[in-house]
Amino acid sequence: MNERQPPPLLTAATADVLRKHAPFDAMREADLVHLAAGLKLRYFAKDAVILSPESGRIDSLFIIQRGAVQAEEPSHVSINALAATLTDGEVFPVGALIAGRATTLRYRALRDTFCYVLDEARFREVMARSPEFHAFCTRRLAALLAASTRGTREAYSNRAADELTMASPLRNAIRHAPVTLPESASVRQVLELMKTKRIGSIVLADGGGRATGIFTQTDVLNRVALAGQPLDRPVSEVMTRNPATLSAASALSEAAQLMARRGFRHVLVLDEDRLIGVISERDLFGLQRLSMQGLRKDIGRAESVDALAFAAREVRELGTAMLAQGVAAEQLTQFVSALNDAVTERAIELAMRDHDVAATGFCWMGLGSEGRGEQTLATDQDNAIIFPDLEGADREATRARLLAFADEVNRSLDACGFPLCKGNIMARNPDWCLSLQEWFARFDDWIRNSDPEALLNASIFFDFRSLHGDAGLVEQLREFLLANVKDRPVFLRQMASNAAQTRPPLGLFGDIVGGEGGTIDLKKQAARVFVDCARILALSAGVGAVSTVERLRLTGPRIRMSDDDVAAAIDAFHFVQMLRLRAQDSLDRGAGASEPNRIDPDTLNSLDRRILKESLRQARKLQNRVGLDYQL
Amino acid sequence: MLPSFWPFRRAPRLPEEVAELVARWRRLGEYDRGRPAAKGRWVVVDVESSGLDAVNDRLIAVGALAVVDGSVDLADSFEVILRQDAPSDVENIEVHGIGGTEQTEGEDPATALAAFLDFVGKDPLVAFHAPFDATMLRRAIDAHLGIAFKRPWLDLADVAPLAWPRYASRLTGLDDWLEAFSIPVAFRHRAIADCLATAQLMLLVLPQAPAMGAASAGELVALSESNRWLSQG
Repeated sequence: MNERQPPPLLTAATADVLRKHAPFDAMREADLVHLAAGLKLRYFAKDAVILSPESGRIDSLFIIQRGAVQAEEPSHVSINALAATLTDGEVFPVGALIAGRATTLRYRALRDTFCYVLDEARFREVMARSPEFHAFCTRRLAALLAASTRGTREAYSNRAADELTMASPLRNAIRHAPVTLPESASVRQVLELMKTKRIGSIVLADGGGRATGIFTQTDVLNRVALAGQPLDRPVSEVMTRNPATLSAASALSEAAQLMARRGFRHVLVLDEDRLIGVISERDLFGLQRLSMQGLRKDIGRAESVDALAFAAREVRELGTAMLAQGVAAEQLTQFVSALNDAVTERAIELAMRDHDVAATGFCWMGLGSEGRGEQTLATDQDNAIIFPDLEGADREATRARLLAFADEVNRSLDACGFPLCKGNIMARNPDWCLSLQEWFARFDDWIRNSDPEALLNASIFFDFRSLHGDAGLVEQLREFLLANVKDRPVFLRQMASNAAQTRPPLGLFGDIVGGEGGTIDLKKQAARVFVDCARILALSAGVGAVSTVERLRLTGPRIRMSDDDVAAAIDAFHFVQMLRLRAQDSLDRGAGASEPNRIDPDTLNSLDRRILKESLRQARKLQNRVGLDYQL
Repeated sequence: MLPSFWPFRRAPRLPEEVAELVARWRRLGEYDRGRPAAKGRWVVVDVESSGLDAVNDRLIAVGALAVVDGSVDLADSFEVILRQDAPSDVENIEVHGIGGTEQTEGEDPATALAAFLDFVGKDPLVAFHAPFDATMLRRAIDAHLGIAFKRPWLDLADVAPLAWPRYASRLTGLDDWLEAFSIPVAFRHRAIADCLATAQLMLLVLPQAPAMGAASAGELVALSESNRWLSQG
């Protein structure tokens, strides 16, 4: 009967169900319809085994319409910790179907479950037609990662898993249609509508229906009640103009970052140009004890180092809470970095009250992981100062003033939980408080000599970013670096050779090989491989990006790395970072041990161990790629 | 029009292809009553009509969707709108959403119903509140094809309460049952969408059949019929 086409309504309805989930939300309509037209729908009662290794060669793809399926190792049926739970919209067993083999896991319905079933022939057709679907199915690592993220969330939290993650599109978080009024409406009309609809914000639109402003509950207090504004004034006089907007496909994390960075509480969500809803801070962090926005404000308002230190502690708590909610490493490190930036900035502002250094035109730089925006929860300070060579200014006098100021900032940051750098790579060190010309000379020296010390310095100092002050200086330094490094293949080759020293700990048969006590160092043996390789690739391609992910993303296409390879390397890096965060978090909670980056792979659950293995394989692949480029 | 029990009325003159489909359908063997209930093909059917009076209202659309070996195959499905001389009234259109033009430009009824027969074959039929669908179809097939469409019907309105006696007193209409099992419906009262929802209820019922004492398909149909008399009688 398969040559029959289902009625369009059935296909459309099914496509609508699928479209709520990745990768179906990204597929072209025609491809999704083709997929939907080939589906069967099956029911599995609670505890029914859907697939197992005994089922033999897999010939269909299962897509969960609704329900929950446990993927577990057949020998560990009772140990749930080793298992992953799949829910609505998730697919299985992709790897086995592509490879045309039996599955290694057993899939069991945790509760009454309906699955769409796609036969192999149609599955291959859709793979051939839809690049999005193809990428999703072949990027197994990404799929595994998603499963692991959920695993993390479950391991940390017993409460019913929130369906939305920070990676969900905003579209899915919208709770009701936007409520709009023309901007000519009076404040009274707006307030009445807010009251009857029991909502916290109203969007104001001009004659053409374009959203021009937003008015929120907080505005009632600040701009109307306390400001003593009469209620018959047009709302356009008190609304916030040009509210922040994001597209419906943006991730929740992007909205959260926008709010954190710019201090908004609401973001308008647009589908094409059409307003489809408003996301508020409360929507994003309804479950969270601490609010990003509140924290951002606390940091900005801290009047003393003590107050700042208190806020910084809360940043770490927020990080832990987000980790527990299964927020991906990428978003998590971005948040932590954004808030740490804010802490640093405030520490600088406070120190500037006592130190008259504004006139020097200095810029405070973050280096290393801080420069790359890849700070984990336990990060010591790496910073430096760059100042302009002003005409008629006494360079040494300027430096002396800046050093005294930097010393105070470094000590404040230490009090805020960023320990002083053991290698003394801090702005209070006269070696790293330099004028632009001095930095040029320093960089030039490292690039020319490429001795071990120069290479070590390069790996820290070449990942620099402006945190406060004149960012133009930093850009000039970056241009200088990119222009000079290109002419020095010897230097890059030395860097590459250095980066090849540490091999990811994989054995001959692709298994993880632990060192002392069977443990591996996630920072040295995994994360650093990605970071170093990305730096080399970016510098040699003249790419100015600083974060590892950006470097890979921007450099990949220029050096003919396939999109899939780039994506796989990025996913792998994120996974390693997440394991580091988790390891550090368990240390904080008293697990002991002095090395926060060391883990025993045997303590990971089987899924995470598989992903770690795949991630290390990606690290090795990237390293080999760099090795080939420099014929190591 | 002659009453349908009149034994000597002339059979309607049918186009050749239609007559062929009907003849082929007549020749088909009856389904295997002894097969396990969860095996083989069931056809879920839903009709839309010009009103709720099974005896006087007109049949407007038919949807059908097969459940084969405990699985719904979206492609093994059927949907047709029957051509109407005049559209049904506005309130009715608001129920099923089949507009006036769609109705007057629908399929020739004889052709549509012959295709329906071809689709369902002699497999047992499934519906929620089956007597309504059965009567609408019987009248229309009799009028347009001149044959008696007396088929075994499994009525989920009768069987579901037996499968889940605890719910029986609280759940009455299809909507109640769909809600209880969180079965989504894309467009309620659009025949094929209702079929898909009903089919999912059927998937839930089938594994319960042995526990209800109806191991075979024939026994499940019989159970449905006997419970109808009990619940209505």
